[in-house]
Amino acid sequence: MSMARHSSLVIAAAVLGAATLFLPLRAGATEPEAGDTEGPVPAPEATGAPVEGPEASPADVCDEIGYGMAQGPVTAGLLDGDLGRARRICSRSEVGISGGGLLVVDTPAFYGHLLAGLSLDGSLPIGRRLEIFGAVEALRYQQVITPIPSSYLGFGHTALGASYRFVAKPKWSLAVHGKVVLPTAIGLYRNAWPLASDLAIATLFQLRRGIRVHASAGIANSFAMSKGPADPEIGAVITAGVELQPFHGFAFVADIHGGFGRQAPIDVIAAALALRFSDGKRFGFDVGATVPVAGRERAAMTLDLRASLRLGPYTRASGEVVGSRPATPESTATPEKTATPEKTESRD
Amino acid sequence: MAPARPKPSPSLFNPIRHGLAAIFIASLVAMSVGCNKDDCLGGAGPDCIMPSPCRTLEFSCEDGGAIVYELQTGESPPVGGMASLAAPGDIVLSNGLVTAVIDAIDHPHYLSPTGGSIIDLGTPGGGDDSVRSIFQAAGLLPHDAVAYNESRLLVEEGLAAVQFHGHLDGHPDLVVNTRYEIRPCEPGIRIRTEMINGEPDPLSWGIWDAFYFGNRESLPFTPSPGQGFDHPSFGLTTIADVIEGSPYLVAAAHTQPGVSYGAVSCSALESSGFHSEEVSGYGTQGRIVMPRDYEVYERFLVVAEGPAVAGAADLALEVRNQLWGEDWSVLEGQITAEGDPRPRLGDPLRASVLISEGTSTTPREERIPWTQVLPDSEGRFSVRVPSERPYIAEVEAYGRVVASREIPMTEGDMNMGALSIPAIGELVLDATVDGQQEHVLAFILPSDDATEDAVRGSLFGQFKECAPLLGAPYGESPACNRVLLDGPTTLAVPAGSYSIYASAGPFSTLARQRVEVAEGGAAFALLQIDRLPELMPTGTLSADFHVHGSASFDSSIPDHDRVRAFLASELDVIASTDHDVAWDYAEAMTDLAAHEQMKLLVGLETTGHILFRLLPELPFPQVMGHWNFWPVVFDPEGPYRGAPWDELAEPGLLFTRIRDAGWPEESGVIQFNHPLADLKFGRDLGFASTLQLDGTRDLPESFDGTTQSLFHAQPIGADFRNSDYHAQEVMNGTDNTWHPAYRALWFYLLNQGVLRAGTANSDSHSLLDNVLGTPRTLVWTTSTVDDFDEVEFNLAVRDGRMMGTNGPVIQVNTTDADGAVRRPSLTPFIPGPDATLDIRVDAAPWVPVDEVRVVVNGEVVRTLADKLGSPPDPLGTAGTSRLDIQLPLAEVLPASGDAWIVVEAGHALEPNLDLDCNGFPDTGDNNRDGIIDWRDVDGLEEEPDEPCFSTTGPMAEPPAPTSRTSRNALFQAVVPDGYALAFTNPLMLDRNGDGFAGGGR
Repeated sequence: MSMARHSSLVIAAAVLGAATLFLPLRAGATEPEAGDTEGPVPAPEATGAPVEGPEASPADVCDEIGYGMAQGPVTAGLLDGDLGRARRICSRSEVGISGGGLLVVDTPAFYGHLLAGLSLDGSLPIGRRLEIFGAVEALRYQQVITPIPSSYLGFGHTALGASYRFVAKPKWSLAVHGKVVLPTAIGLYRNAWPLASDLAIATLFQLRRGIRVHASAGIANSFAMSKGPADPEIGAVITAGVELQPFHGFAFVADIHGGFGRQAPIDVIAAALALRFSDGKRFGFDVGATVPVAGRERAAMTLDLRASLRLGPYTRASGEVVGSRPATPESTATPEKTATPEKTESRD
Repeated sequence: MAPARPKPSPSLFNPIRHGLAAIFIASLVAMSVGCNKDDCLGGAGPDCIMPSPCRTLEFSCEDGGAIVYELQTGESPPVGGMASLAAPGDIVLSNGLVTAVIDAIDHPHYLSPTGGSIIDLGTPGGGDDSVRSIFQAAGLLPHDAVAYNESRLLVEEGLAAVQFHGHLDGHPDLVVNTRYEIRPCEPGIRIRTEMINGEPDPLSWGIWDAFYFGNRESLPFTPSPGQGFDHPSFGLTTIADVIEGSPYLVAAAHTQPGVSYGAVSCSALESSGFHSEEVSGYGTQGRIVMPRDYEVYERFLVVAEGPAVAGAADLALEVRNQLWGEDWSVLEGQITAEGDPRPRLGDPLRASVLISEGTSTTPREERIPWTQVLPDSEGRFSVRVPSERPYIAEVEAYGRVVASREIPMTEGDMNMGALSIPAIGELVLDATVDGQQEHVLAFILPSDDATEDAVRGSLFGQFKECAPLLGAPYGESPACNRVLLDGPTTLAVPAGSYSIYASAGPFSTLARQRVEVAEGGAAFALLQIDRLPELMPTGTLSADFHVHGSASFDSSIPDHDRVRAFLASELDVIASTDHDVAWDYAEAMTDLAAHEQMKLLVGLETTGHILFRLLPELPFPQVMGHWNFWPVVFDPEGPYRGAPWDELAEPGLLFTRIRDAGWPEESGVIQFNHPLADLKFGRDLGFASTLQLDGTRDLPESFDGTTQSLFHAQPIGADFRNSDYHAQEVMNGTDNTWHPAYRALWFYLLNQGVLRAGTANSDSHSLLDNVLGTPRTLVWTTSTVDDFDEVEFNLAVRDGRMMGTNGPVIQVNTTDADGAVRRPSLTPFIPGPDATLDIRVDAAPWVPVDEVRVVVNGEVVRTLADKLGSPPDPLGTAGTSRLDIQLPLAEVLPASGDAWIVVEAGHALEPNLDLDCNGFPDTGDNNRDGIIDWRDVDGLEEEPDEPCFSTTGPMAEPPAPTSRTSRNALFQAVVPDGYALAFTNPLMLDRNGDGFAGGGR
């Protein structure tokens, strides 16, 4: 590859990376379109009762989920920093801790790759439609298994991003997500520092109460800051799946994930499954796995176990709102802090 | 009405937005800074020039220059020496002090898939090259070796260089660039290697220089705790456990002219690696290299004259001083041998000084050996050591530590004074054969246990132990406890009581002399040997078809001594079969007038180094074992001296390459060497082991997807089948431990209708590992040494008109239907109706013949032990005839069917069993409890559940002689670790006259 072509690709990738960041941020400043649900996002349900009976009529599809229950596509990603992984649409204030792993076993090539990590993540709504989020891989253990194996233990990647939901209807919603993945794995990278970002448009439909489908399509790109080759890569990522929530305290998610054109015409086609649990209050627990079934990807599977704590007020079954504070000019900045008891009560 | 939408909080939004934007801007800036056209990290384009390595190093001199050029046809070897391999097209770097030869991309050697490796390194024209190959690799697997595809010569102000560009083998996205550079006045080569992970997966990499020592040559030395010359042993699965860091690696050959080598990292304080007599891997510490990341290794490869590692270690310390500011000091001293009238200081074995950091109370595993030096003829030495540390000097003489002293180095240089070592004795040996002075190989053995305990030693604790150790075990004479005689020869020996033995091969008397050698005293022994010409059947020539010299990567015996060993063996014909290289020993043969006494057939042993998958579905890559070919075309200048590249090929394809290189298909011989063998460094030495041949199943005639069927398969692109060889080694090596397995395979193949001749060869690489000509093959031929018809001789070999022996001589014949006498041969015949099997066995008196076995179709049908003659004096000349008998064929043959007959003589075969159920014996009664079971298998702690073991061996070694004067002890004095054994080739009986269909068919 000529140097000129190489440089132009590098710059193109960088610009694209920047675009993936700025677009959602810029979109966050726009007003909702006509027809969007008006008003603050209501407080969600908090009961552990079965999801049965006549459907409620939420003002926003995001209202349907139990308060602490994890949302959206399966969270077990295949790439560092969860690059290209589909993300939930519904914004929330939440912190999470997750442990995950990835395993590659290629016996004919005498190659194995074991990756395990512990990550902390959080998200914060800014206004009704914008959410910023981030994750740090606080501990990363990686071992490449060959006749002479090597391992790494230390800090991992950091991901920062934003999501903007520009359509919020009672039955469906549409959002864009973008994030950048930073090579903060000090000691793992020595001479080349990869920067990566992704941008996707995602949608969520509620088919009926307790049954939702989600889909996401976007691009993921990366390049290296290095005296060596930057090797810019860009590819498409597509995810589609269904969430079944027969009970408020339990959900099941099945996704199909595809990645194309980044390192191969078909980077990966994978099936992903997750089981989700919640105490009906603030806590959620999610165990998910992604299993590549076709494409270049060599991983046998990736696994993710995540516990989350949702912040902000929630409503007990009795109707008592827990954790709300008196309305102040500052507290109205986030939808959860402006939850209206009336709305919550009407849904009970 | 819905309440008003909350606005995003500017105070939170803007900092995040701006912060992330700043990251991207920083990224772009970083990228633009990183882009650099002045190196090759971004790709090996036409303008790419790698940075000069080790930039802070500087050596100066008054006059100096540096050149790089491509070696042309007709130019003499730039370095020369026992390991010299330079050929036209190779790249030469030289500055008047050091010369390196880097093989051309299409001349790969040994483990390297392409050229671009250092194959010769030494002083210009010094004849001191002892490097086999130094190549780059990222790990242990075949695809971790670097394959270069482009090279470029560079001449700049004050330097000359060559760059190679390529990738890891089979992985074009794992880019590798290497620059070799030489500057005026520098005692070495600067090297920079870059490896870039252009693949999507993280990899475990170090950049290593793989120093292929080959075994029996240079010994690696590293200054790290408990090491020096001592390195932990490892296997392919345990290699990660032995990788250690060290400030430098040095190595020295143990033959003259000596030269030492060293490697010092310019990129890091330490390099890391593993070390063995076979290979060292030395370079950057292994780490995970993520996609797009790269690794760079810069090092300085030093070369110093002299036979110890001190020369290279001194330079390594100077390099480290320049790079890292580590100070060194000079340590001087003198070794004395008070009271010794012939101190022989300066002899390599007389005194070698090892300088280790530590004190006498420091446990050996914690001492750090920094250097090793040989004192000069006055006992003086001078070495560099890191400054201001405590040291201990140990003096090794004849393989044993004989003196030591603590040296509390303080600031500045230091003289440790004199250190005295014990006196030694002198032994003058001479030998005659039939009263004439001839070339003779003599064995010097302790006469009693006290002497044995006092003199047993090993070279720096490495290689094989010898009692006594009189010379480097695999180098020139004397080697270990053996010496070549051609007139009176003076040896320095530790004091003790010795028995000196010698024979002129197996067909002579055995001479023995006892001597007492006192400290400072001298003794003399004359060994008088008589040939026993009656032992050589009329019309035979004795031959050894498997012999190595220093042209082989695993031999360091000089050509002159190799040819002296040829002559001492009293062989008529020798096939020189060096590993991967054709070699004719012409200079030494002419100097010693050896052509008048013997014929040398230039041959070749192809030796698989690069592992590949025989079948795609097999779990492990393999090599195809070793194969001998003769005669081959010798090209004194060409790559491999005329031999073709022998890697990555099944035998049939290999045979085709050899034929295309000039081997005569109609009369040349292909020999299947040591067909069953243990792995050596992960490589099969025998093709039957590669195939995991199952002797309990028939051989498929065509390929059916199994490895068993590959035996007869014809590889794609080949004109031969894998089974189109002519002879198989039935005896290989003086130690015939593996003979029962080779024999079983040969018998199995004969029963399968694979009619191949059986040979017996020494596979000698030195004076120590095997005794040249023991065993040997007797060939019935019309040729003589004086009137040698190479084609006729080789056709006799192909036809199996041979027997193999390390002592006994068997003559077998019968008569065919026409009444003609028939001797062993692969040509079937119809036996006469009343034919007898005439067996005559002769042997020198010192060769024990305990039984004679008649084998029909692989089964021993008759053992003759009670009719054997016994010589009155094993050291005499009488009693060579042991058996002369006629057996009616009908008594030994089955009722019907074709049959083949082999006759064996000698010691009873050591019992071995087939514990892995493949039809070939693999395990002996190693614990000598009378039962062969799992308890005899190395590595088994409990009885396996399955009836067929996956782990077996070793084969049984012959029991040690009960006394130093027993008949077996006499035999083993000149046939070490062997037992008397001989076999004939088969008589092929086509009893029905319809062609030979296989034994019993």
